[in-house]
Amino acid sequence: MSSFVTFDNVFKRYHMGEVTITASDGVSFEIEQGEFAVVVGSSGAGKTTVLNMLGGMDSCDEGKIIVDGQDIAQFTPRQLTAYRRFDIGFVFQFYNLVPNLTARENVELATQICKNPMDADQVLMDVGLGDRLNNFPAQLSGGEQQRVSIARALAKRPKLLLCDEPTGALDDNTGKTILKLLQDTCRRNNMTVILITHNSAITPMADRVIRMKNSKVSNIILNDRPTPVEDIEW
Amino acid sequence: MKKRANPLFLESLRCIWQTRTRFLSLMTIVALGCCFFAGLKASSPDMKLTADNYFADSNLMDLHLMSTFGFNDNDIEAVSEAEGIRGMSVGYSADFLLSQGDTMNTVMKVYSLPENREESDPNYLNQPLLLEGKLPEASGECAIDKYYAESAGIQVGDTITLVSGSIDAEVSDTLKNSQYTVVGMVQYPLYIGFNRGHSTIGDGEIDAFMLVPETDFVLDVYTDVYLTFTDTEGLSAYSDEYEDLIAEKTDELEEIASVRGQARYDEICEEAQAEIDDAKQELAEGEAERDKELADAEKKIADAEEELKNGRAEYEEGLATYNTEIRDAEETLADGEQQLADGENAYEDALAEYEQGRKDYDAALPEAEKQLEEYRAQLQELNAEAGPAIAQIDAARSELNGISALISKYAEKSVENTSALTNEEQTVLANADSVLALLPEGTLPGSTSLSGLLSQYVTAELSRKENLASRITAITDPVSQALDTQDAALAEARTAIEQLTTGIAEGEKKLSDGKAELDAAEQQLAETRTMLDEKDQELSDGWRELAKQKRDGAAELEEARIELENGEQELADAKAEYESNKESSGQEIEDAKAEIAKAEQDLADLKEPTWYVWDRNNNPDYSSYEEDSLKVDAVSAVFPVFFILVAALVCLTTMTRMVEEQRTQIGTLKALGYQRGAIMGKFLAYAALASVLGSVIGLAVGFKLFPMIIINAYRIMYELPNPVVPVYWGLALGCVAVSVLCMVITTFFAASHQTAEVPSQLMRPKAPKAGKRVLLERVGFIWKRLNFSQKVTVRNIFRYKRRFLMTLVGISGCTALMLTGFGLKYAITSIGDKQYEKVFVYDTTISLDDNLSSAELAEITEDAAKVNGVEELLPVCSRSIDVQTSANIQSITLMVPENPDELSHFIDLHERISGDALILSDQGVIINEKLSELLEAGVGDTITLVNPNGRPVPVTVEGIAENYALNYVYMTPKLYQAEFREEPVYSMLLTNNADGTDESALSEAFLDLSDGVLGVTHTSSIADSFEDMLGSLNNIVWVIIISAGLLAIVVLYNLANINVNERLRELATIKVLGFFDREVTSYITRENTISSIIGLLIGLVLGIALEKFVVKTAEVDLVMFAPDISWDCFVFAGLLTFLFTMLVNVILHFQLKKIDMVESLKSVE
Repeated sequence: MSSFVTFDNVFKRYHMGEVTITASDGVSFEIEQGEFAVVVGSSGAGKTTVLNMLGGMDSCDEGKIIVDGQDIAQFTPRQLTAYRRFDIGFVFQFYNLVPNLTARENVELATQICKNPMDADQVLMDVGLGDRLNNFPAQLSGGEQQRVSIARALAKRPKLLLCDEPTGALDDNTGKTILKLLQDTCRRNNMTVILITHNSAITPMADRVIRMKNSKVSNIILNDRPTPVEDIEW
Repeated sequence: MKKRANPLFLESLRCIWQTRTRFLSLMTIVALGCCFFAGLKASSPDMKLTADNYFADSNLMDLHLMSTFGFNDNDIEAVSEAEGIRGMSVGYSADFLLSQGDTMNTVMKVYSLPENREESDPNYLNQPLLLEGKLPEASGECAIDKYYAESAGIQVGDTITLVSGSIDAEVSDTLKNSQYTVVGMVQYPLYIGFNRGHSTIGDGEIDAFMLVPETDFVLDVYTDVYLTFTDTEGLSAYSDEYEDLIAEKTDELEEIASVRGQARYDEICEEAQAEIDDAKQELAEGEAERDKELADAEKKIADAEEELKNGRAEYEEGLATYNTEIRDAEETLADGEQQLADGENAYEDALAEYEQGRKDYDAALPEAEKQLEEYRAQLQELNAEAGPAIAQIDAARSELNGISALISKYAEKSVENTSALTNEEQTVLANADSVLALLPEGTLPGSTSLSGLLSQYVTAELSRKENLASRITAITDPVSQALDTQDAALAEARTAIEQLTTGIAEGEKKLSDGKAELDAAEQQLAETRTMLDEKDQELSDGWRELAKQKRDGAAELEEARIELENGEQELADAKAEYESNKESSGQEIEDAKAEIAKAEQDLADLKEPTWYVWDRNNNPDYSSYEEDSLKVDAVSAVFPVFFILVAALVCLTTMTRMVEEQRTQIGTLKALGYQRGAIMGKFLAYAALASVLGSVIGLAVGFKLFPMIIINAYRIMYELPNPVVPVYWGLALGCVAVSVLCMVITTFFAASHQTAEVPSQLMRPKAPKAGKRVLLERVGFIWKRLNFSQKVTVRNIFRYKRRFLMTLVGISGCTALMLTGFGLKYAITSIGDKQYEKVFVYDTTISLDDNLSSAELAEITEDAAKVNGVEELLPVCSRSIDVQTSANIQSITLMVPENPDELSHFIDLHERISGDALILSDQGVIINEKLSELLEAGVGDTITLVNPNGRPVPVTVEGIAENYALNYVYMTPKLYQAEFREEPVYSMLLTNNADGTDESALSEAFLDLSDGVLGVTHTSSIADSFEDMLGSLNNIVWVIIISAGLLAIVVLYNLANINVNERLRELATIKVLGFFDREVTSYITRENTISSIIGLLIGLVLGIALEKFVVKTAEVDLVMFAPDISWDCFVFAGLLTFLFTMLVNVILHFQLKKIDMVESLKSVE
């Protein structure tokens, strides 16, 4: 397999009492290294399940999930943790900053556990928060908090940056700047970024768009010429 | 339409189910609080109730009367007339020693058991509690103290032997038997502890009691009267009401006592006087008899003496005589010897002379014989010549003379015839004519015959005679003339013949004389020889005889001497016997006199009989039990405070969290138009339900468990039946009410804050608590040194201040309780070691009889020091005495070492804190620490020893020594002598033994020394039993430790749970960030751990104070618990608390593991 990320016929079922919900019903897709991929679908389409499995937060029941040549579907919980620790950067919809830590400390929370982290201050400067290093989350706006969150993800120098509705809790403009930051990061660092959203408006900026419906991949579109973020309207 | 359940109510029920862990933990904390509080609270009343029930069931006396003279029927009648008596029982009691092989140091109190034993009989008091076997029925049976029997290994069926404890009394004076068969084991309600009271015999401490049938006592008067009163029935024994009532009754009985006392006094005086008079009479008689007997004996002795004296004199005389006689005999014999020798000499001389004479004679003999022959030849010649003429003349002359004689004869008379003449005259007559021949021839007148003339003459008549005569004469005259003429012619021849005849005769005579002489000499010599030989024989016979006599005499004398000596010995013996008889009978008389004098003195001294009216408090255990129950109360007042505080805090936090969690719901409900009260009602109901359930469970367990454990623990020190543990409804209701109220109020505060907000606000997520810099960050040099996670931890700790505070309270409380538990355990159990290893360093105590003389004591002491294994020995005078200050009076043991310099080898007197050794001086005393505390007397203060035989003795305290068990005053012999005006009696020996000495062998060796050795105790065994006794408190200590542990776990878990719930999102996020499980756990538990450690440190400090309080509360007068806390108590308390923290952390770890990372993706609620 040459692709950086490969989902090969992945199934995920949840058992809620007697009811079995199939959250991933034979999902297959590939994403190449350095691509900015967007997984899009409506609520309940199974995109979060894909994210969970890809992020090592959940395991699949069937199929292969290959990331950089390794089948993480076979990983033990401990391997999965190590995988999250060293290979994955995660950007949450609600930033999930530790409220009791300053911006820098939130970044440091990530950098202190990985092998070759970036300098926390540098990353925060890169995301444009050079002057808010010592602010607590409560003292930052949503966009700023999300930047801290991104900085925290990037500081680990992950192989894969996973973003779960990063703009979901932000206003449009702020959302755009965040998307811009993500796209820039992707281009500048040749970082593979996978963004999950229900918002189809974002899709033009992606190199690859994976649409999901009813727990299945409905189609995959490769976009040779992605639109810059500034040009997108929603 | 079917009425449906209120949806809000349904929601509440579901809510409980959903948050069941929280509900449970709330319930648990309330249950724990109630359990602990109610349990400890109930323990004290339960203790009293248990005792009360026991007293009531056994019909324990209210008052106990004893009299110095016992009670006679009149006394008893007088007592029975007192008012309000419900039950009255009279009986006997007496103290004896129990004989156990060699040792007799167990003092046994024997009580009489009434014959009528109807349990419902109000007059059957002090009913024993039968634990084994049966009660004694027949004479010679007994029921024995179960506690003692167990320790002494006595079983039902064994026989025990009583001996009298005083010299001038016998068991038979009091009891029918001295041997009793054990038929039962009992507890006796007169003793609720193991203190059996005091006695006047043995070591003064009663060790055990036994019950025998009343009829086995043979005393004239009852010794004990027990009473119960109508008014006290049903009253708690420890209530004020009871005490007041008893005080009143005591006064009443004391009045009776004084009246009866006087009456009894008079009776006794009379009796005693009569007895004394009798005794005097008897004495006088006895004395007279003795004098007479003595006089007789004296006389006998004097006679014997006289006789002996005579005997002696006789002997002496005999001896002298013997000696003199022997000497005389020897002298005589010697003289004889001398004479013999002289005789022998003379004999030898004579012999020589004789032999010379014989030789001379033999030599002269031939010469003499030759001459003699010559003479004879000459004579023969002459005779032949002149011889016939001469013969004729001579014959004629002779005839003439005859005729002349005849004429003269018959001149005047005549005879008839001549035949009448004599023969001679006839011859003369016949021969008369022969003469005529001589006449010359012719002259002759012719024929005349002379014979005829003569015949005529003699026959003729007188007238004729003259004529005749003339005629005759005429014839005869011429004859005569003729003769003369012839003679003249023959004269020469005659002369020659005569000469020759004479010469021959001479010569012959000379020869025969010489021979005769020689023969005579020979004869004499032979005779002399014979005589000498005889003499010699005689002498040797004499010597032999003397030797024999000497021998015989000496033997005789010796015999006499021996006889004499025997006589003298006999006399001496007789004299000695006499003297001793005299003395002993004199002593007897003296004794009798002294006895009478004493009796008289006693009578003079006789005070009115003293009646003792004792209530139950006379038994120290009775009152100390109450004290103990009060102590439990005091302790129970302290401990539950922590639990209530912690429960309230836990409750507050939990409910606040719960309300916060349901913030959105509250908002929604509010928006829907529900009233604030209805919304709050849900939370209040939740809290109330949890607290009601919790408190009910807690009470149910607490009321039973704690009193059970505590009373059972105390039953190791007290003899009580099974605990009575009822539920105290008032207390229970109070507990429920308080806990519900407490919970509801805290919930109300937590909820009212939230429900006051408007719905819109409520429906928005509550802004997370803002991060804040903590003070520590400003202290740059510390902050910079902290690594990232440490910084996070510090910040978190201060972020959740309330939780932090709660952790502190919970953990410090837990640690403090645990430290108290361990500290109390140490304080109690270590004093055995401390007392017997640091203070009483001697190995063995030997108790001697106080009544021994000082010489006897000294002898035993000397012997004991020689026993194998004894290295050092110190005689000590040990007396029980009271000591007094204005503050207090205490019974103590006064110790007077014979040699104070050596005391430190046996009892190490030193100041506890500094460890400085204390030296006894003659100026003052050393007392122990607890005594100093009780008497409130320090160094330099004066305390007064109450001398029972004299004036009170004030002494100065010179030192305060470390000591834990019992109270002691130490004093030098010099001071003792000066103050008590008597010599100390060293009747206790302390010894230090060589290492590895067999203690039981040593005991035997000591006990074998003398009957005066009453007992031998080894320090090791006391230390053991001491620890056993105090170990009973261990249970309570474990209750405390376990409760504290539970508290710690509940608090920590609860708080940690809240912490996790509150920070679920944060935790999920860091999990997503790739924190390993361990890292996640430590992220959160680090806070827990740090707050726990801080709480722990605070707890250790608080614990010191709490421990001190509890130890002081639990202490009794006779014991000082160790005032220090051993470092291992701190270690254990700290370690256990830390362990509980870790335990909670482990639980938390598993919970954290279960956190779903998906939580991080959820929107904020």
